[in-house]
Amino acid sequence: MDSTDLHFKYYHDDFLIIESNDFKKLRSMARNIYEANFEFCEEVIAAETEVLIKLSRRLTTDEEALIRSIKGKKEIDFTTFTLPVYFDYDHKDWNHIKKVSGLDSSEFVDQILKLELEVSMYGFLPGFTYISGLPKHLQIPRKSIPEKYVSDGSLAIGGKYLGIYTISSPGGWNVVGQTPIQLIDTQQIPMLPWKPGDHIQLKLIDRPTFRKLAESQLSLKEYHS
Amino acid sequence: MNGEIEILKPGLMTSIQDLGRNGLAYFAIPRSGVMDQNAAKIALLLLDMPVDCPVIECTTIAPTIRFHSSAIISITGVDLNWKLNDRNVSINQTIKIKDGDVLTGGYSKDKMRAYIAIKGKLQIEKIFGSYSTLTRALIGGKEGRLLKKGDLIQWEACEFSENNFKIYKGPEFHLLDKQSQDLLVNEPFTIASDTDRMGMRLKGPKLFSTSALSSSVPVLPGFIQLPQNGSPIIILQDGQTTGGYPRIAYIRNIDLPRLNQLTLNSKIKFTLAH
Repeated sequence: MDSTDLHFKYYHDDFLIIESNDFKKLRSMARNIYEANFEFCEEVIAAETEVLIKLSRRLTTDEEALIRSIKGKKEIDFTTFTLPVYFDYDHKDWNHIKKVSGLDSSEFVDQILKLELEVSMYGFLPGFTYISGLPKHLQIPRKSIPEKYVSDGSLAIGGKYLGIYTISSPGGWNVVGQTPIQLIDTQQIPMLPWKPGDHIQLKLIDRPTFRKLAESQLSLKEYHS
Repeated sequence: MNGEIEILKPGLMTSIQDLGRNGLAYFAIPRSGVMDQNAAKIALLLLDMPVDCPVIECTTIAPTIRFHSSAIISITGVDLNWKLNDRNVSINQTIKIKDGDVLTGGYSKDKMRAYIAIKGKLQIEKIFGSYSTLTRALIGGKEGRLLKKGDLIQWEACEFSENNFKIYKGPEFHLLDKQSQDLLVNEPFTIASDTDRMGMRLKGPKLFSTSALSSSVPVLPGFIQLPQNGSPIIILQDGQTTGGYPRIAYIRNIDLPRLNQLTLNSKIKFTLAH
């Protein structure tokens, strides 16, 4: 990436934000910064429009030049995962979704199932996945007051993203469905079967199938095999 | 309380130090600062003071110090057999001093460093972001040198108020409307009862941001987020790593231990730092 595309903003000696409008290159740059394991970077967090680096101290001009010299490269390899989801139309969030989108729930779900979705980034909490690929008319704004509890396995929409809560947590996104798959493995890093850049195909399952799969507690790998 | 001490005997290599100068090695400026950060921090923490305040570092031989006013102090590090007016005093506790008291001590053979912290803001200048004395360059502390007989050091009463927090502008501070920018620093907030290890929810004046974020952005403990309902949330230790609400401000790490000790329904106030 041409370093002129990057905007560096320092917040005292506390953290640095690098902004760019080329998300995929920013994401791979963030990975390279993370893997470089600089002693002055306490944390690296990559999001769609920026990378945040928590600094342990003020950077020297040489160190900033070093960060600027880290290039993002195009990502080519990806894996496609099929994820079974049960869409529970009785979930209370559907009222809001129907109102905003103007679609009824089954129409809405039909359209989601056709989408080519991409794992956009890690973030929020362990095991959470941001998934991109929602067209404008299926995007639903986040709730103005986050819920105190969203159950694990929830597939939800927050603005332009689909997200999966693999552990129960507070959350402000609109829940559309539930996957019965045990996606998270908290004993390893990364905790999820996919990485940013991988593709996800959603597969509609009915309630009995959901129950059966949930009882057998399959990982995504076991489900695929 | 304001106050003053007088150095009657300097001891050995006694100097004013803090945590040192960050990030200036590039310009061949050494880090300086206390030789034992742990002991210095304990001295300050005993007085509920921020750990980046200056302390008096003693090396092997204790100085003799007369207090020209009452004071609250703490002494940590190696025990130099301290005495207050000839009565033994223990290290690692807060010590109440009366006007005219004299602090003396002996020496130590087994360990080197001891620290004296005084509750208040020492009246010395920061140089390159630090109070630390670097004698070779004649900078920091008391005129850039070790303390000597006759030196007077003043301090100013400083309310290290438990409920006042310095905040810094966050990436989306500019999204706050003018009135909300004022309310954020002029009005107290109350720590809501639904606070947990993830986040501290605040009740108080409603703040408004002029637009919402279109995507999730990185957050760190100490970041103050503003959901659309107008009530700020401070991200804490178990907080999420990205979030979709404007990051209007942040509290520095150094102040988070004090924030995290406050009980539910405590009132807190913010001061905007630049």
